[in-house]
Amino acid sequence: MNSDRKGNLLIVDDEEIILERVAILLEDITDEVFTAINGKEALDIISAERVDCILCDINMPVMNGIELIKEVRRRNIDTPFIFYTGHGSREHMLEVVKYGAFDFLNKPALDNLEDIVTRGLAAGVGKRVEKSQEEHLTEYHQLLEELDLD
Amino acid sequence: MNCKRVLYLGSDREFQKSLTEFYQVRLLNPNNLILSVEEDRFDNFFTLIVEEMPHLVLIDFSNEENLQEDKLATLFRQLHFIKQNSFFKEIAIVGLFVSSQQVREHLALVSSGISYFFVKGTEDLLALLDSCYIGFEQNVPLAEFAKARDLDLPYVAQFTAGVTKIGKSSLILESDLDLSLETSVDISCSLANGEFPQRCEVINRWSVTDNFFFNRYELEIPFCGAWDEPSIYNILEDSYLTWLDFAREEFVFKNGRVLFYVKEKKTLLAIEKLVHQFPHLEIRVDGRESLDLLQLKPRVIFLQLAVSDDEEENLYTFFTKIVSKIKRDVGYRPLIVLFASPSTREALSKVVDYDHLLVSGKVWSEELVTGMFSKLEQKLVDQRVIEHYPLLSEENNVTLALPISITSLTERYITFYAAKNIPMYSLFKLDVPCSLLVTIIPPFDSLPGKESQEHYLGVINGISVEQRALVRRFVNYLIHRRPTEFAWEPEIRESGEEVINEEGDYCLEEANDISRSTTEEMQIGDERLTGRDLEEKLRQRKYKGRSKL
Repeated sequence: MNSDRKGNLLIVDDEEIILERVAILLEDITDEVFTAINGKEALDIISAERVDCILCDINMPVMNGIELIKEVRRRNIDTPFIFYTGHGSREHMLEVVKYGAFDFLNKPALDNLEDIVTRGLAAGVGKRVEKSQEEHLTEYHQLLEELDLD
Repeated sequence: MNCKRVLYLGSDREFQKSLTEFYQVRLLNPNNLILSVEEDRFDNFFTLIVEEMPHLVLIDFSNEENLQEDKLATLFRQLHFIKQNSFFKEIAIVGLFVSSQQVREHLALVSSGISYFFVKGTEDLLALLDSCYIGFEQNVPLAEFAKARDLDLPYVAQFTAGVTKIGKSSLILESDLDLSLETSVDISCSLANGEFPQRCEVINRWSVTDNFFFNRYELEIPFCGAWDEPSIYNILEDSYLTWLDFAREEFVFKNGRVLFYVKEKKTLLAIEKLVHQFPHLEIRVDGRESLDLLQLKPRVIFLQLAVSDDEEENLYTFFTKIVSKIKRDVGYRPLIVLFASPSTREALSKVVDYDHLLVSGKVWSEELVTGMFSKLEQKLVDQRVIEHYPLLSEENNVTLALPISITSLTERYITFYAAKNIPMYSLFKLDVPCSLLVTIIPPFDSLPGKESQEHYLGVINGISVEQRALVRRFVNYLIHRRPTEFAWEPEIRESGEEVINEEGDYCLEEANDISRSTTEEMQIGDERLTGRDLEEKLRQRKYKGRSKL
């Protein structure tokens, strides 16, 4: 059953030390963690394994994060992507949101790593689908409360 | 190919024929023209506009059914929406009427965005020529008319304006005219049971290029002292406040501006319907960034992101541009609602560093937007703490007086100096030699300027064939008498002595006028004549005119 699954995570980063550390950090909140050092390797894993969420660096050799998400979306796979970002990566962020980014994580601090990945996995395994109209209206109402109407 | 689109809404077959011939044969390359005639779809006016996006629309009001109160109210609302939203800024709208009386009865349409009022008769070619120039600025050479030139005649033109809010000591007025601070303006309106002062001073001004009118002003209401007698220039404060207290419940409160960026026609049609449903919201639409966002300052901005793959890139760039612009104004923090976004709110808010976002992966739906509008409207109504009470009833139509100096007149055109910066295609009213409308149009040739004043060309409209004959006579009067006032003296109007134009062919034209006029009513001097009396008077005039030759 989907509701029992935590979800499988694919981490894509060309720095092996990051791959290892993040994999250990997220062990408890995932069913399985796959790692890849570039986009090409990641595509092979996505083709072979069930992946519920992808935590991905943007700048990588061979195939970077932008090329990876483009290819994944071209294959009609809507797995949530969480991207690492760093100084000067705003242009890249702008590029990847066009293809559907779930969230961004600031590297190297990785604040809220667990929380963001948990939500990404939940979205990936189907626990959380697109918000209902009622949810949108409730959220809208909350945002309106913050609106300055003077 | 720069294709010209003309839409005629009406069922007058003769006019349709003239229109078709004019555009297809006389004027434009038929390959470069799309001419649509819609007889039965007057009720679907807005749908037609959105579907066809014409450059020029001719609305024929000959059919009285289309002037019924409910139909007119809908049309007025839709015309207002069209004028207010720059999405439709390329559209010129012309109204066709059966009589000048009908024009006078529907003068409210002047402030709705109709640029030209034509009274149908035997001069349909004039309507076609003038509307063609208004729509496409394409002029067709026509025989010269007798022209009273080198005039320097002061007159006061009446421009339409709108009072949008009224308060305890001032009112907010919007107008196309450019008024300076501390200027006294003469206004005429029906507020305060018609006792509102006729002269007020401008104490604040804002430029609102993206609004219905181009400028917004705060005018101070002149109160008289407790022991003074109120006059036409002031009002007793107590009387005014009592009236305001009673009247304000009738005012429609409208303070929530929302902006929809739309590209799809069906979205536009759905939104226009919502305008009617949410009277307290000011719902604006834009294509892509033709409005000045920071000037408009909507409280909520709606944007559908990915309508198609081709547009994705531009739309995201557009979204980031909007947010950058918003962030430039520190105090301004609207809510942005994005539809059809493949990315989440969390991701987008980090990309643009703006968290006042609501992001939906679905395309927009009327139901969802209706729910959002309801919540916003409710919030606005609940927080009704305002200094000025918005006014959106018929009472808000006012006229602003602007002194002008008339420099030339023909039966079709007028040129004049005015100190103000008046936008093209503004309309104003003159009462000499009869009640007529003038639409300001770009001059055919350059007009000589004058220090601190601009020289304008206006096309005369809203008059019948008979009234145009009066204008023709008045032109002759101006040519031969060289008066110092732009005025029509009754005895001259009746004597007929001045009724010869420069070409000397006036009598023949007048004879034609008479044959057309015998069964109708006509204003001659101070007299309103009909039937036999009119025939007799005209016969005398005809005779006098001929004897002059």
